[in-house]
Amino acid sequence: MNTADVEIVLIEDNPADIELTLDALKKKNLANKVKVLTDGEEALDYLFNSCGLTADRAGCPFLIMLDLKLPKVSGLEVLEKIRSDERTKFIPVVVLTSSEEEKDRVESYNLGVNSYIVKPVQFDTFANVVSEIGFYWVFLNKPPY
Amino acid sequence: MKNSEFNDRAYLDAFMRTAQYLASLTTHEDVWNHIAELMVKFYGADSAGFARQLETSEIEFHNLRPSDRSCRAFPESPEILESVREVLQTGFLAWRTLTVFEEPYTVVLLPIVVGSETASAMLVGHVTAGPISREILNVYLAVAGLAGTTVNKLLSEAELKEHRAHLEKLVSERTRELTRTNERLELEITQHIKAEQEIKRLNEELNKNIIGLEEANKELESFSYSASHDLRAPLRAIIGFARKILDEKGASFDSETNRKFGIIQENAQRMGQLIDDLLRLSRLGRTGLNRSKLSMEGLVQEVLAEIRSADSEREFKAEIDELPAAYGDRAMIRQVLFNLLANAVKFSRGKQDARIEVGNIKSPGEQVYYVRDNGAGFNMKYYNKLFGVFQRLVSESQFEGTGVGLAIVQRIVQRHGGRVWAEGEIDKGATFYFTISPKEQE
Repeated sequence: MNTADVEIVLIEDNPADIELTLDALKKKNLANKVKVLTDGEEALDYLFNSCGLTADRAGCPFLIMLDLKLPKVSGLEVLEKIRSDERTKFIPVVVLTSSEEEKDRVESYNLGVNSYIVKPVQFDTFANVVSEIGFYWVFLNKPPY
Repeated sequence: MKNSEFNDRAYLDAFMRTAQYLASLTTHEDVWNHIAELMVKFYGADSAGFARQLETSEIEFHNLRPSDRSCRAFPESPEILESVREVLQTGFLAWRTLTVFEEPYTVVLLPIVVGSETASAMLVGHVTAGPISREILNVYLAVAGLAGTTVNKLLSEAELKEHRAHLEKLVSERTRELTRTNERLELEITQHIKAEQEIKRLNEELNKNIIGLEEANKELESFSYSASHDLRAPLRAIIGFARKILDEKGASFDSETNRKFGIIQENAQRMGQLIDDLLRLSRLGRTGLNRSKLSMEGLVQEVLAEIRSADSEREFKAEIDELPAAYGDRAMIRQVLFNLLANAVKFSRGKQDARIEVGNIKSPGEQVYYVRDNGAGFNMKYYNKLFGVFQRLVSESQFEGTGVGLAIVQRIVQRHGGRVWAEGEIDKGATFYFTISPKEQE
């Protein structure tokens, strides 16, 4: 997939969650524009390589879905790096996690997350939430560039 | 030496010897003893002695010399007595010529001043009709003066000595006392140091324990953290993939396969609920209490409204007494009331005239609140299992639930420093009591 076609970057290491997320996004016809990255380091490499400082930020995704528990570089560190780099600081990031811990929530907002969603255990709810998020940020939201 | 002839050298010599003699004496008694002697020996007096006034105002004669002669007549002579009183009173010398003896006898009375008062009169007798020459009188006055000064000096010395001895005694007593006190203090200090060392040791031990506890707490925290994360992800997969199979292939399944898939999903969801409850319980121990004054009546109404709106078809009667305000963490106390009221509603399901009561009992120093229902009740035999985690006294098919609700109630009440207990009877109902401080504490 050409990086210019990628609309959503999903940073998630659990294969089952990846599949369920993609299933949900399929409902909104977003699934074939998703780049899946399974660890924090790989995710940062990808983002900094594909996201240029051009006026229209060609190559930047419309949305990053970020799990917090990731191998190598944690989700919170990924968020911090994204927010502190000129190329990526405006990309909307939605944390999608199993963690209801207050410190994760507070820290995510401190680092400038756009939304914090606790993954529902119920499949229907989970599928709805994921597809709604995808739809909202990709089709409805207007980025600054 | 004759009284009529005054010989300078002889008197000077006598006086020098008197002075030397007096200087060698160590007690004032010696002065009285020896002066009379000296007057006879050195100055050629025919008699000498002393008279002083006693406290009874009687005159006492003493140290009369020579003992076998005329001076024995002094005490009997009214003239002498009179002169003694005169001298003692005025401090001036006096003389008398007595005629009681065969020859005329002249007695000179000289004041002896000790300190600032005339302590005694020195009597010096001469066998002569007198008068005694002025020069001799002057010498006698000088001797009397010297005697007084010496007595005074010796008295002062004695007094000083006594004083010194007293002081020394005092000092040694004080020193002994101080030594004893010091020894006691040293002992106390040693004990104190020992106690301090013990305290230090205990503190160090306590600190170690605290560090250990903190580590254990951190471990627990990281456990519940990963529990919330890691245990829920597989559940989501089980539920999600069962659902996917049903969505994709469900149409071709027979009813039995559908039922079994339903069981898989239900149980996975139930497990999710258990994990959530367990996490809530563990979080209770970690979050701080945010206490404020709470309207218990308001909270009860709020919770009941929530329970009614969740199941609008369910009918029950609720009686709420006037409840005093409590002091606690709003969210937590609300959770207590929610769990107890939800239980009461749940366990009175299927009863005719299901009735729930909320009330309070006043008792000194604490507020007792209770929630009563007339539902399924419980057997007091299993009371010890009532507040345990995941302990259920009824089967899942009868009444749903995870068995954490009452454990949460107990944990919250205990964190508020209160107690929780219950009474129940099968099919008659149950009453749950809890106490909470009505005032700000700590």
